[in-house]
Amino acid sequence: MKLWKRIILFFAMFIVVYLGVCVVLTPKTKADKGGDKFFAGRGFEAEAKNTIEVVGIGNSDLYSAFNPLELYRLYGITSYCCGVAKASPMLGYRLLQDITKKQQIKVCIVETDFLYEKMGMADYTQSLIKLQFLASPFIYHARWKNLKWQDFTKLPKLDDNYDELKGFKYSNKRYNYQLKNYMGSADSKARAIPKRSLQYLEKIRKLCERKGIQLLFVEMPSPSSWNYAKSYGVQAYANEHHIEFIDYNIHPEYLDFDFKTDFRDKGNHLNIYGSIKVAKHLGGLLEKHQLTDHRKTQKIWEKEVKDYEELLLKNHISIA
Amino acid sequence: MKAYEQLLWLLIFGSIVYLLYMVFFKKYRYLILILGSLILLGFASKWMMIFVLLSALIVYLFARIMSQKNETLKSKKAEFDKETFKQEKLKTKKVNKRILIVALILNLGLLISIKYLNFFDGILNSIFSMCNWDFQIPMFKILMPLGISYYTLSNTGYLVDVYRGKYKASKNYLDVLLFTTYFPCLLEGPISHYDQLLPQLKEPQSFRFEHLKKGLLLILVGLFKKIVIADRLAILVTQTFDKGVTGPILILGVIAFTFQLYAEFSGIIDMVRGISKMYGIQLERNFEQPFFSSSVGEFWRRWHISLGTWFREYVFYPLSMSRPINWLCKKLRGKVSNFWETFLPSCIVLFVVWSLTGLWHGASFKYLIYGLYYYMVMMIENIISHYFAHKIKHKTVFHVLGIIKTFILVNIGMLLFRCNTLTDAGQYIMNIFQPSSTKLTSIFEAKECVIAVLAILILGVFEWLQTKKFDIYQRIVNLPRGIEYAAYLILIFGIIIFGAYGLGYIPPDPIYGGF
Repeated sequence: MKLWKRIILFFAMFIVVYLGVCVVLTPKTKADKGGDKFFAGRGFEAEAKNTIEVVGIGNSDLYSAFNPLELYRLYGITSYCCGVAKASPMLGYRLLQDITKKQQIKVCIVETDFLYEKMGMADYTQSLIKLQFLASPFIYHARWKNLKWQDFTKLPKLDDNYDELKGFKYSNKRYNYQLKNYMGSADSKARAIPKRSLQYLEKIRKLCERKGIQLLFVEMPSPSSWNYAKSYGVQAYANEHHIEFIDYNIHPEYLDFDFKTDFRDKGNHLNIYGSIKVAKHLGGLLEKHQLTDHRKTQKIWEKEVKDYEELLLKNHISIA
Repeated sequence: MKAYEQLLWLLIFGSIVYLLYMVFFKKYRYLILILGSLILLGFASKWMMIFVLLSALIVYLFARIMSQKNETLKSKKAEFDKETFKQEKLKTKKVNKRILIVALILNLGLLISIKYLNFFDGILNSIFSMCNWDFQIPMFKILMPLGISYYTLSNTGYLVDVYRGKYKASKNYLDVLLFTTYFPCLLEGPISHYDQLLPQLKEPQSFRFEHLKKGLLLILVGLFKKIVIADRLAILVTQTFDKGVTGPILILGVIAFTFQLYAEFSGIIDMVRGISKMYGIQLERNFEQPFFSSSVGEFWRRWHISLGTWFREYVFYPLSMSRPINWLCKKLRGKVSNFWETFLPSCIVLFVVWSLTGLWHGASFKYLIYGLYYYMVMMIENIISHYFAHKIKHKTVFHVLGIIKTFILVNIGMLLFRCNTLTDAGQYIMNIFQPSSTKLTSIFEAKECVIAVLAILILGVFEWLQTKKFDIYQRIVNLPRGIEYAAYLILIFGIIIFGAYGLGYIPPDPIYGGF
């Protein structure tokens, strides 16, 4: 056999086996091992068309603090939280692109912490779901330990990925954070947004401009990763493009934030108590964007909020 | 960058260098290797690259001076009578010896100052505090150039060989630079001989499908050892060594570490040999089925062979020929039996060799003891073997028992190697006899355990076949086409699916990479 024929034969065999392995190893549901990662931030795919008006993009700081059901409960705003652990602006941009295909978004909240996240190779695969499927033998290979019969017979369905909490991560754990001066000096020099992040932030801004979406920058309380230098860096960009920027680290009084009770871990992620405070303040800000109060009109949301309230009551959290 | 992203990046980088090499002008292909190696070093740190360039320049210049002196002497041979030539030769040798010493001080001095500065600092600080002197030398944070321990030894070998007149020094700086920086060897060796490696590096290698296939097969085998075996065993090793576990399970931890170390080190060497094979470059073997050794001495002849060879050629032989040892040999002659007459001098020389071998592994007393432990075991083995070997009747049974004994002794050595301090090693041994604090399956999932055992068994069979001179690589390549490709696919997908990387695994740092 000639050399080129041998090479073609080998690669043909390789591709057939590889695609088979992709099908088997891709998580089929959110409950499967790795499902959280595969479907991360993409729960909106299972939402009814044109039912979401506000979207949040960011990393784990966002999904711990941005609570769509609380926002609906207090203001009737329908929103979705597309937060992904260690996400980069590139992933945020892809998610925003995808959600705007199905939903008429009016406001996009950017949690600015992810602008300073380092981008890794994983970002490239995770930002494109098809690429993620093709890279599944590398990303989800550890699923060999948990394979079920359906893994050999089914393909993953994105619209099966319904999330009752709309992307928010519920936690009633409390970490007693001892407040110290984590922001550094108020005279710090602005730390510019890294080049690669800036590139995708520009894409996000232009996409919002094209689709008539209002941008709002928010930085959740984050002692483990935030400081004045970063805040000033974001502020400079926000000023340049006339974008509103709320930094709850500089103004924790907006939230009546309690550092001793409102974190679930070492000053990194908020718990349910912190997220309720964020929703209260954020809802007030969003009201000026002429969003519709959907209360009593959205049956599914009403049901989800009822379940959510039951969850709060079960954990002795006041819903007044 | 994460460990596997680094590995992936290296594979991509290696492929680009390979493609460029194969399409470049034949005569200058070696320049691609130099450029590729320098870019790799530059990516790690630009200072590292400058450091290596300087280091190669020092070696080049000193070797050149020594070689020129030898050549001048040879060219004048006809002008001298026999006696004058002899005197001139002695004179040249004396001068060259001085040049060599300066070159070695500079070359090894760089290694010692970078690797061992803090070790000596620590010793001095201990002395100061013992003397109640309120003075402490600060510890230095020094960035170790990639592969410094490997290329320094290779370069030292080159200098000594030129001094001995084994071959002439190269007239071209690029030759020495190529030999010093050849990028696959920067990772974890092997320590190479200039006269064996350089001609192959300089030779414009052409693309050969057979070379590519065999090289890729070696790389895949290396990846299997590293990712499927070593990184999986690292889970158990980390738990047993670093998490305060007690009970007999700790014995499994040591055995797991021994296999982890072997699978990782030999796996990376397989990859290095594989990359070289793709170019058509044959590197020296660094491992020859060490776990089938029936004595610790044999184990070390099969484990990290290039390091053992280097110490034999450049430390053991010169020391054995040194004046004090010759004096001792003369003194012993006729006074003791033949065995003791050779054993006692070699005992002294080997003490130095094994102290240095230990210290090469790291700058601490732990590594010194690690080296001396093997020294002690080997000396005792030699004595026992001298007095009892001829009395053994059942050679096969004794051979098998020897393999088991060697494995146990090697594991004790590996325990010293893995623990942070000697006290930790002592504590580890004590903890073995404590009641079990946990079950094996709670620190190492049963399914992981099954894959680890199966992979080790496959590797064991693979190695055993090689001890029987069964060339498994050649056999795979010679299989009918469909079966051959199926074998490659099994290996590739075995690594992808059962590799201990990504989701749910924490990538361990390379053990031998820091040397």
